[in-house]
Amino acid sequence: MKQLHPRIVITALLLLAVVLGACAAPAAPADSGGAAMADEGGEMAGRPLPDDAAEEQVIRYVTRDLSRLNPASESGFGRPWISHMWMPFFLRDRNHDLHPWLATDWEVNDDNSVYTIHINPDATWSDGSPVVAQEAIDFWSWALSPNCISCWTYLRLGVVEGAQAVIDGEADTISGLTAIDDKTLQITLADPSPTFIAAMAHYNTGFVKMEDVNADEFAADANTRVNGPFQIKVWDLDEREYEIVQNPNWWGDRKPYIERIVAQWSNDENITYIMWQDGEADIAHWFTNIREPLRAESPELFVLIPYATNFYFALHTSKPPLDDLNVRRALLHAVDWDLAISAAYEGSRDERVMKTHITPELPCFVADNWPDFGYDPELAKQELAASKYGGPEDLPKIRISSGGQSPNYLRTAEIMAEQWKNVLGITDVEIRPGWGDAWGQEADLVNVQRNSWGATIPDPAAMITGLWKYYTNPDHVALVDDELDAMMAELPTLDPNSAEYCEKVSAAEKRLLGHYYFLPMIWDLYEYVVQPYIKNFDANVDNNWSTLLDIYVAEH
Amino acid sequence: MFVYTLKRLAVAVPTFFAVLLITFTLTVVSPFDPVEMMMTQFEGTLDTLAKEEVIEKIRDQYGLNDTYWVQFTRWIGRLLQGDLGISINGQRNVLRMIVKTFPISFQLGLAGAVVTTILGIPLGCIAALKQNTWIDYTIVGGTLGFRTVPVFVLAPLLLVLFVLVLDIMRVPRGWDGLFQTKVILPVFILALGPLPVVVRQTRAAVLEVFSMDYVRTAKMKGLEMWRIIIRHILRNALIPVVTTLGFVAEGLIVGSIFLDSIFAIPGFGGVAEAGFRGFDYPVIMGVTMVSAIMIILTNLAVDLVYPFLDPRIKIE
Repeated sequence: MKQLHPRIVITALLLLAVVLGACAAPAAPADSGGAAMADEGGEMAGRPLPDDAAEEQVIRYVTRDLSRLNPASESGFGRPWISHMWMPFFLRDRNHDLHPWLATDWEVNDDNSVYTIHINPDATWSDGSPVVAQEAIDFWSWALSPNCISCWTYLRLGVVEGAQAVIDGEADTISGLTAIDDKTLQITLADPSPTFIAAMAHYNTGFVKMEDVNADEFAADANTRVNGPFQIKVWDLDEREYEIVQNPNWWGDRKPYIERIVAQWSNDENITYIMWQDGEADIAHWFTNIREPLRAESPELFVLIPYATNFYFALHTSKPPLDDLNVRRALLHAVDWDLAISAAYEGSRDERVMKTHITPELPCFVADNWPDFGYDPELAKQELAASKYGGPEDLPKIRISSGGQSPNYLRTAEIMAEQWKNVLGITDVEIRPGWGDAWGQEADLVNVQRNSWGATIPDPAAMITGLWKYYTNPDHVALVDDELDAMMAELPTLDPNSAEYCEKVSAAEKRLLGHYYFLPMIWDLYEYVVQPYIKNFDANVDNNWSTLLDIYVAEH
Repeated sequence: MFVYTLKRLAVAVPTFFAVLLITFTLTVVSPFDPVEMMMTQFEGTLDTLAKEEVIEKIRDQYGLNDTYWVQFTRWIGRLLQGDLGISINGQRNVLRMIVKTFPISFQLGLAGAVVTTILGIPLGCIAALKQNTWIDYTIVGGTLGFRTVPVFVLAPLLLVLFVLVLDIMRVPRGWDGLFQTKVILPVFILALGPLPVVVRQTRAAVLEVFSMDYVRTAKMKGLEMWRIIIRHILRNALIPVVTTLGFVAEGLIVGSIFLDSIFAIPGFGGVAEAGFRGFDYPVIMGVTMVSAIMIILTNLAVDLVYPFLDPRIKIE
């Protein structure tokens, strides 16, 4: 025993030393492929780098998830660069202004029903073949067809004449699309729309050469041709390797500075944060719990994505007790929303308490368009007393669906219920996490449902007319207002550049808010965290890195 | 043995289909809709009206509006043709996802089991030989202590230590093969999970064998202690340990969900995690199927190996 003991101990220690020693061995540099990429990108005529630029122009990006790349079905995590691979006709900037991108310009007829798009005559695919109008028609027709699984381009092109027949599988080609010549595309709409051109800047309308779309579950890879300044080097969801590089044959005048972008997947923000602190990440997305401490330390690192997003609890105006306007008003005025949201979101959305549907990121935003918004417990009591229920005793049960499992939603709902009890004496409130399904046979009785509303096309008229269409549905909120109906009907016909546009949009929104059909939560906040040495970084409402051509890595 | 193996496999078939049926039923009747879960990534960026339209269209495309039995028989029909369907969330071929990720998890799991064995058996042995001393307490308590810290806490803590405090490594990410330095930390953390089981099992077995007559005889013959341990104690004590290791390896192969997520390892655990997170039923079914096969085969293998380790046991 005495002879054996030291041997065992020494053996165990040696094993531990081997394990820990190997851990301590220097890891291979994350950017070890840099030299090879510099060679690959050598064909492209270089753009002189700014004086303070680093030698190697590589962005290491960390995000929560990455999915397949297909402009027709892009689900969010390829948005930063997808418009720089399969270019839509126009590119939006942070202020929603359109800039020539694959197209040089466009025209529209007098009644806003026929758009003519002029594709840049220099535009070519990465194999050198010219980009022609027919290719857009072919890809879009496939993208709208039932063959394209999980595709939603129809949200952009559903208004084109003949689109519905393709969506329904009754036609192969969208009849409203015509290639006048190789570089001119004519789009005829089923209904006139002065704002349709905004859809032509959306990444969903970028198109892939149909020869590369070899399956209904199409996902782009390194062989897929692009017409933008970047192309795929590797995009392997199984191996979790994602890298895009400069397209050496890009036809544009202004070449990008960035040579390649290495995307890394991380759905554990602790790990992302360790990578961030260790200097292994240049741009990060989806910080949640760590976001506020990081913001307190370095607020200059945050770049807002100008999404136009509302989160709120919709009140069903035909279901008791919310069929009474006074009850709805009382529920609103009984809660201090600034405090409630601060508590529910732990201080991370203090500046983003929802006060109107049209968010500060959108044109026509009027901060005080809902002057009656606010905490007023005395008024709330009076309103409940003035309702047909007379007080809390006879009030039917309030059933709240949190619409998702997020602790923020649940906390907000719990705070609302607590406030209603304290201020109004309402106790018959039940909250269930999830959607209406969580209520089983009581699903039809749910009268408060958390909802969200966003605008990928930054068009406030489209946003509130969409809301109106949805919430007049008897299954949702069941709003009824003939005068507002007429106001909403007029909005899509207005020219967004006209003087009366914002005036009428604001008037319609104000009247809509006056129905008290929701309880506010937040205008949500999506941000990137960007190292200070990444210069010229910006994003648009579509979450494209809209300045990608000008982004560069400075010496650091 | 051949007949026994066939019988066991025959019994496994209905078990296998029962597992699939139960999993499918639970998935379908759960209140969560995989398409709605997928659309949560659009939260706030797509209006509710558009979202509902998209959801309905995609549900149709995946046949999720069909009845339960239509969906189940369709899934079984495809399974019999070797088709596990398409992931709803990732729109990828589930069979390909599993085929690509399983070998990685298999290697990781086996490496973890090897490290567990290399550490666990000697430590268990030492703990037994030093029973009720501070060494025994340290080994048993220490390994148990590591086990009680969840992987998703332990891994970031170790990374903070090695990456930020000691600055001796970068955050190991991804998979470049088993014999890479970036694998060491995940394997080490993976091995810590079942380590106390192996340590305690070894310790108990050694203690039991240590009091046997033939061990006392060996001591009286004047054999060196290390010979007694290797030839007489471990040989008999390790029979239950070895059978345990079979299940340890199986657990490590299919159970590294957090590890895959933390170290971005493209393994089977990551597929499972994505499937469960998104209620992506084709993925859940594929993962369950593979896990069920692994458990059934591991059980069978352990039963078949047992007689070789212990001549007193015979398969009939």
